[in-house]
Amino acid sequence: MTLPPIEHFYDIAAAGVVSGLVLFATWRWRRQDWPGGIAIGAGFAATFRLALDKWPKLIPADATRFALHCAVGGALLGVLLSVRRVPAILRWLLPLGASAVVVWLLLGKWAPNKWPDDHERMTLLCGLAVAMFVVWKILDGAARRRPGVSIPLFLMIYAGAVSLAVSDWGASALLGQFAAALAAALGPCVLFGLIMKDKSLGAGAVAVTTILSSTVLICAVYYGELAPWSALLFALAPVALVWRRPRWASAALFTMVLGTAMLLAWNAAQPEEEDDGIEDPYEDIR
Amino acid sequence: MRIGFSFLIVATLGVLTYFSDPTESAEGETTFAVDSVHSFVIFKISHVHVSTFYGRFNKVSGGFTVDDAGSGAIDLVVDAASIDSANKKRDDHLRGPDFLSAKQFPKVTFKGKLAKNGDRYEAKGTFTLRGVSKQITVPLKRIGTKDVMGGLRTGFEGEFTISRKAYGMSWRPEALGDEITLLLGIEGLHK
Repeated sequence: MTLPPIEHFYDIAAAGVVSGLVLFATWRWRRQDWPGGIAIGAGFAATFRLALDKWPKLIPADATRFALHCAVGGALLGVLLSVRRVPAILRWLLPLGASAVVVWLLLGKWAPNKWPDDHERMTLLCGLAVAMFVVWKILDGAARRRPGVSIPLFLMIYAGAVSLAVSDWGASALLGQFAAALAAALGPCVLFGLIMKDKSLGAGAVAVTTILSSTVLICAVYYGELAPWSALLFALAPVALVWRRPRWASAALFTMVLGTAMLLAWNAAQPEEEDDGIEDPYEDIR
Repeated sequence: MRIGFSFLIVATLGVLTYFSDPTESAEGETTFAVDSVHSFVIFKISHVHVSTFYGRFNKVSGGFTVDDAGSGAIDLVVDAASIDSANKKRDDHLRGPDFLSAKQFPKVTFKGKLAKNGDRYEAKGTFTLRGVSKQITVPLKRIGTKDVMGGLRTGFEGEFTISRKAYGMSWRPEALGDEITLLLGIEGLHK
């Protein structure tokens, strides 16, 4: 696989442009937590449409096409979670339920092909949903505690690294493009973080980012060729953002985990030397 | 005399059973299993609108029946993961979610009826690729029938075109043409 050509750059840039336009249009509500999620969701939708040249069906035949459903659902959920009057219990139950739905949409229908054992299948689906929920809540807490530019910037770098690993070593340029669209859509959030240093990323943006990055990683492992250990490290990388002090330690740990995840992905994609068992008939002549 | 007549009937039935073909029905319908070693599915697609790119699927299985009038049924199964474009990295990409998504949809299938129309044959049926099923008609030519290499063999070849977008493979329309032409070379060995 090679890096995306220039045509892909335009598709990906569209996510940044649309996201920026949405944030600009919702400037009046800039102190609220929901515009970020809508902006990232809309930006992702723009790239999705351009990259695939069509909208997906309501119930697509292919798991990867659920990425758009996940993005839209995440943006709407982000709006709901941003409403102050939502009871605390729902702030936990909604992300947990959403994680379970995302995992089910991506793997539930096709999982029987891979895991003939029902018990093993359910364990894996539940495990993935819980892991996604835990990362979501950790990221939500980190975003709340660290307002300003750092969290959106780290997440942009994170999505970029996932994009590179998935497109170059995960056998899916399309999923890589999805992750790159997430990175591009986070771009305007980084700019907003620079302008409003006391404003956190917001529940909406965290919801869409968690859902989309999980979608890409799950699909890249189960339908592409991304190494599972690499995906696990990618999934855990945002946990490093929890520590606020010292900042350099948090950044160093985050970079180290991302770097290791990429190294594992690269290593797993290296072709093994094949021995076809056929003797070389010209060996004696040489 | 009665014993002799019964013996004659049993003996006649025995001889008829011995020489009759158990897979051949009363209408002369013969069943063939696809000889995977001598059957091919080749595809071609326009690459960046400057050339035609060819590849193949290495594992084809299934079977078909043909009667004396040229009618019958056909059931072909192609292993999606057996795609071969002579480049391992590209093969991984073709098997992945951008194209065939072979882990989700391991089989490409065609199931339908075979009919003879003059010198030509036609297979009408359901073609399923990447979880999308569509009715198609494949014009076929019967190459020949011969008792050779371990049994009665017959072969068909045909060509048909599909839209990759219609089967959910719409990624990179600027680089690859929408039309995929599939060339079939199917050899059946009498079961």
